[in-house]
Amino acid sequence: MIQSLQIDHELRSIVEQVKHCAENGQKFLPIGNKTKPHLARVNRDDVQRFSMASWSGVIEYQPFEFTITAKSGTRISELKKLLEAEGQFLPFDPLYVRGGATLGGTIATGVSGPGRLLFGGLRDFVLGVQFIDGLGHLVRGGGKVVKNAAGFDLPKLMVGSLGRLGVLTEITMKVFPAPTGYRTLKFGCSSLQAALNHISSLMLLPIDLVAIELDGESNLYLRIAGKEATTSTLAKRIREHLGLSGGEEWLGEEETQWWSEAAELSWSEGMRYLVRVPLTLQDIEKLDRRLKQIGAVRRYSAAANAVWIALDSPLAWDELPFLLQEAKLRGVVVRGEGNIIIGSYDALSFAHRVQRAIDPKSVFVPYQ
Amino acid sequence: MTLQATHITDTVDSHSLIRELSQIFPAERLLVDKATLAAFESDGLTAFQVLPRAVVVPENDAEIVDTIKLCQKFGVPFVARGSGTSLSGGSLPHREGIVIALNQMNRIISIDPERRIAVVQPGVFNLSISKAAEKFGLHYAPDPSSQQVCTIGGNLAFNAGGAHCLKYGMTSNHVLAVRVVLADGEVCELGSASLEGAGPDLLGLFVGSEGLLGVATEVTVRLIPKPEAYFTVLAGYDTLERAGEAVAHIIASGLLPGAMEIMDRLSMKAAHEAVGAKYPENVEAVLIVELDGSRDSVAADRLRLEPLLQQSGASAILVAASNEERLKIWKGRKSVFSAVGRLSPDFIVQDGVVPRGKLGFALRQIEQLSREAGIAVANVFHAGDGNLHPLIMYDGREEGALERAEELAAKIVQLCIDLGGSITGEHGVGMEKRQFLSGMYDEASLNCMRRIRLGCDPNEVANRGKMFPSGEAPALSLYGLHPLEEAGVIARE
Repeated sequence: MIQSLQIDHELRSIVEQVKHCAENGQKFLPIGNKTKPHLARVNRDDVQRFSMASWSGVIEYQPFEFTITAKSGTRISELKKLLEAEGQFLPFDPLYVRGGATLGGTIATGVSGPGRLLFGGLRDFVLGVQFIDGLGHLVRGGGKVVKNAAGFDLPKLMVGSLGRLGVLTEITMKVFPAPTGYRTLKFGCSSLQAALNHISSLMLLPIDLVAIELDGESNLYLRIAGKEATTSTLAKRIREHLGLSGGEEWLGEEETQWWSEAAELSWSEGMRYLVRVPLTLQDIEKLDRRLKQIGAVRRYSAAANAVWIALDSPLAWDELPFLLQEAKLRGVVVRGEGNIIIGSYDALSFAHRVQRAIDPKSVFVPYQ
Repeated sequence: MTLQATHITDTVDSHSLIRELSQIFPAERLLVDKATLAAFESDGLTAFQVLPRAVVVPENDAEIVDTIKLCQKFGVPFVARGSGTSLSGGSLPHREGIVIALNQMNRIISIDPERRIAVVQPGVFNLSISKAAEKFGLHYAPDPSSQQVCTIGGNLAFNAGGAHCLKYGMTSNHVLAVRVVLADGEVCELGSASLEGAGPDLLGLFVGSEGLLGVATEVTVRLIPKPEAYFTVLAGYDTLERAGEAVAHIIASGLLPGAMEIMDRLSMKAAHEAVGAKYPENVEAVLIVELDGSRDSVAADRLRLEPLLQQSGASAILVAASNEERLKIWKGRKSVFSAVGRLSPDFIVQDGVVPRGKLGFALRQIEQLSREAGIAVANVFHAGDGNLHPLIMYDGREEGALERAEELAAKIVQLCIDLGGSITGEHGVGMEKRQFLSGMYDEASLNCMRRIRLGCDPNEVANRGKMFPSGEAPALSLYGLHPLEEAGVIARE
């Protein structure tokens, strides 16, 4: 059952719902716009899913302060529009913007887009949060200024909390001035290893790469920022550094389009299962072979700091958790079945302790 | 809901505790002699001095686990300590507690240039990481002023900042993974070598938790390429406010400098006397702006910055023509804290944050408060992120001088709260600012933080008495005798 906030937009009513669930032995799961469907789904009868999508609106935007505060149900597309008008942006390329992703859902999923490479992921841009804890209290953490070291960093804790540590109601984000332009270099590499070698070589180059993506066909996409003349020089230097000629260079609309499709994960559209797994360069060679064997489509993101795995076969899907476990990796299931986090999860004991502390009555859904 | 923890410290038999500690540590790494302990009685906040019961110097994780378990068994508080440079009293010992000195755990375990990570022990100096990574053209970005001596463990516990936070973020943005001994002795790994995570960001919670959740024993940090080029410029202004306005213009232009710092006349005087730093004559404030990045990006940004500075009403503009000149500018800036010691026998440094747009107002208010109190205040601050560092000067030998200085400090912290900022940008709450935490967070929020603490440490042995305004350690009173002083727990000498 999905409840909506059509009648009562007051924060108090959400708080009451949480308390009501706690008193009646039910679980409460806040959901956004369901752009990451598995995160909005849970196979239990006792869970009340609660749509936060109408709890929406920008509370405060101070371009000069590099901060924006909005209610959790606010669509990222709305934020983007406001920011663009002031020449600012969220550098981590939030996902599913066109699909209607909300700010709260984005934070709770904890998954950044391709642009996280240079300035940091969404964890690095969350400054403050307000959320409803398991006791039905409104709790604040962090602040509304770009620098703050007071108290426990609850904003970061909420990143990737998957709606299981509290109901996000208000979020303050840091924003940055947007670059004056972009250029993308695309190289088809002879093998996955060749592409990975290029990535490790780029890691030592003192040129700011905004994003590095690698697809399953060993195509490498490098994004740089600046005025056209600057990026032209940078592109030359990158080519020299990698010893690569040929390939393609994109500017303007074509360029922007490719990256916004990347943040929509359009390449995975229609596929039944989709998982995001953090990893490093060294994990890839072995993992990629296994993923290929089970017929997975792969997209390596943020200079191979994460892989998107898309699948269609239920048999392959059943195999994936073991494969990740074996590689000592874990992932968040965006589309799929069963557990929301699959693979190896070492910090569970600490996670459970923190969850019990925030939610002593267990009104939120457990992680596993 | 009451969250008062049960403390059983008073019943502890010191002899049995020390006896059990001596089964873990050889005599040379278990310090109990008062003269030796004196070296640990204070940190960077020298107004407080407390002798701990003992200091242990572990060399491995197992010794830390055993020590913490012992502390839990006896209900004795512990505090982990690196170089003791905390400016908030974060590593101040507890009178009945143990100091876990991590100075021997100071190995750089590995530098992995391909993955751009370094794995280090907590006692490694901040700057040592950058030095070790230099041969790969990489560095560790957070650069607190004390980076030559402060340790990564302390940086992590207090989420240390530095001059480059606006563009690069703080410690928490550069720590990727950590092995932790939680406050009950359980060991767990948080985060991974990847930049990304899956599931709740427990690492994010741990960084900046001021030693209240446990002790980091191994830290994986992110390295980034050392900027290939810098453009560093120092501009002089007739008033602090003008310097502040220049910052506003630069921000409004869409530039993102690596650093923007302001120093007032007193700070300049201190830096000049300490390290011979040179500043334009007859100016009230200087603004340091630094662009960094690839040489092509810096060259392009420089063309945007220069006209802005020229139009900003600067009476002098000095461009660092060489790396030596750039380093001199930074040497002057980073020397200010210690240099103020030459101008005044004692000082308190605050590190509140105000929204950038309210910097000018905040500085005028501070000036007025300083005048009213008749206490000199030097201002040096991270203008790019609104992080103030008023240095409140006093002579501790004068009766009531510290109390008056603290009273002024309290007013400045309150000003930051009132302006919608923070009580601390990078020094942490520690001992010093506990009573102000409730000015930032209401009861429900503090209660939630406290439940997290108690979930990991029901006896509150990990850095007991810090950060939280309530609990066993009473709020730091700025008027009259400190309650802990009355109780004989702390002393100001």
